[in-house]
Amino acid sequence: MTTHANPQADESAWPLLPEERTWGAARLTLTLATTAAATWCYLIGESVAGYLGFIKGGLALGAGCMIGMVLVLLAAGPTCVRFGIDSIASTKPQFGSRGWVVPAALQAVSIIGWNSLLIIFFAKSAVQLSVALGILDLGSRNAALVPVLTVLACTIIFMVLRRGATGVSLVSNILVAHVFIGLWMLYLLVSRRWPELIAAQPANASPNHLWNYTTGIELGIGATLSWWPYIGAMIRMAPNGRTIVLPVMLGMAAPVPLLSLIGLAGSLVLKSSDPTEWLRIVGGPAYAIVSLTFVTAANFGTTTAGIYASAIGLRNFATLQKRTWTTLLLITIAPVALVGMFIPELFFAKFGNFLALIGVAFAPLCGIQIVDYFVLRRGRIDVRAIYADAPGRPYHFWRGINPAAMTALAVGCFTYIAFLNPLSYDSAAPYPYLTASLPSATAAALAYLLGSLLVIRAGRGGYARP
Amino acid sequence: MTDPAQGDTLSQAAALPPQLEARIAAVENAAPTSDFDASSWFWMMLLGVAVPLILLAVGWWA
Repeated sequence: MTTHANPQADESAWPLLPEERTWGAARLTLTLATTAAATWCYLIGESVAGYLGFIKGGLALGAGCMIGMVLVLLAAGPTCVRFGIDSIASTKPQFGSRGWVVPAALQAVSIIGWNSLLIIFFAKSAVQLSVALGILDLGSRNAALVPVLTVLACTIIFMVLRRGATGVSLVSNILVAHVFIGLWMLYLLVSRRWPELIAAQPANASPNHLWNYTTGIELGIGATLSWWPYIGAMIRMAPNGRTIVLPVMLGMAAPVPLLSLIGLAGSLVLKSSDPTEWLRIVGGPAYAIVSLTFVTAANFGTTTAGIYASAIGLRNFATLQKRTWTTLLLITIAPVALVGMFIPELFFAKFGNFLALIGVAFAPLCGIQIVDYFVLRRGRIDVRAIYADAPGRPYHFWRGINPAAMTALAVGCFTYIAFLNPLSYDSAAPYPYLTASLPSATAAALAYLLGSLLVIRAGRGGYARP
Repeated sequence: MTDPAQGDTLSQAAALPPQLEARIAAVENAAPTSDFDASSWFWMMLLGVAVPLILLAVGWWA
């Protein structure tokens, strides 16, 4: 039986054919850089500024981001890039032909939650930009524009994504300029306030210097581990592993710490991570307009990529496989639009904590995938079994669920919270020496390895018998 | 030996949509796509392990 390249293949969760995987390193780098650079960079920088100065903070964050990214790449990368599938489909060999709904739920909540936050940021920035440009007057009624702009942004994203991954790439080609604007903003602050920047002391630093340094690393690792839900949908468009490594490590991991330096520097010197505020102080209203343009463009690009990745993830649900791409996009965008319309302020105030808790699951998820692919299966993945759910199929395990993966995920999450409470930052004694993400990934990997020995003994999971 | 009733259930439940079936067959029959070659591993270890370690050492002693 033969099949031909399908122009709509990038709108399904099915494996892509080699001839459909046409993104080269440059296109992938642009897309990943645009996806990675968003308002969260300031928030990450602001968090680090609580514990570390500019040099130490920048280096710890940079190192953490690169470590987190390599974990994500090793976890989802091999299966996604070999078979042209997304992050969610890549979890079926570990979680089972029905258990994958757990990572899918994590992905949906994480992406939709983050995208709701970013799109509200986008709307607020657009209102501020309009005021700065004189299009709008200052006034309380401007707050009412946030829901309107949220819906407008969602409509534009919907129109763009009707072209599938091509739409994501198109937006990235246009919006990637904002990464350079961000670097220019950083240059401005560093060049004009260098002595203050070097002398600035972090506000919440612990007396334990190692604890502060480790927290900077941990924030970097956590930031890039959150890319796990996004990465599969992007790298599956590239033809092989060789094409993805440098774009992922340089296009996705590097911009985050670089742009986070904006928030780090702003927080240390001007006590504000929001460049819109401090660029007005440093360079006047014209600079503030440039900054607002940056924020608007950055969040729009990231949300476009996020909605795309989430829609592809939802495609794995049998009931959504036959729905049109338009319907799937509407299902994915609707929660974002509804949050922006009805509860933007409440969501802003409360949902960040929930996202912090959800984030602890990505380190164990990576640990499980890495040990399964490289140690237990030694690269042997049955692509047919990923899509076939029936008793006796390799990834059916027990009723479609692999208890070893579920247990390991729980062990990993528990380990993380035992090492570091992501909300209060209370930590256990070994945390300064080990971080929280790395022990969490290791504990999950070990628990999965041990549990899988029983699974293999029971003849489940499609593993090669020793 | 497989129970015939169970075999029927298996074949029904495991039946894939024809387009997906064709796609999987094409992927299975295509030349195997590598995950990471030696060059990929080099860059991953350099950028994901060695460079972070250097950054951490520089940052700690800065």
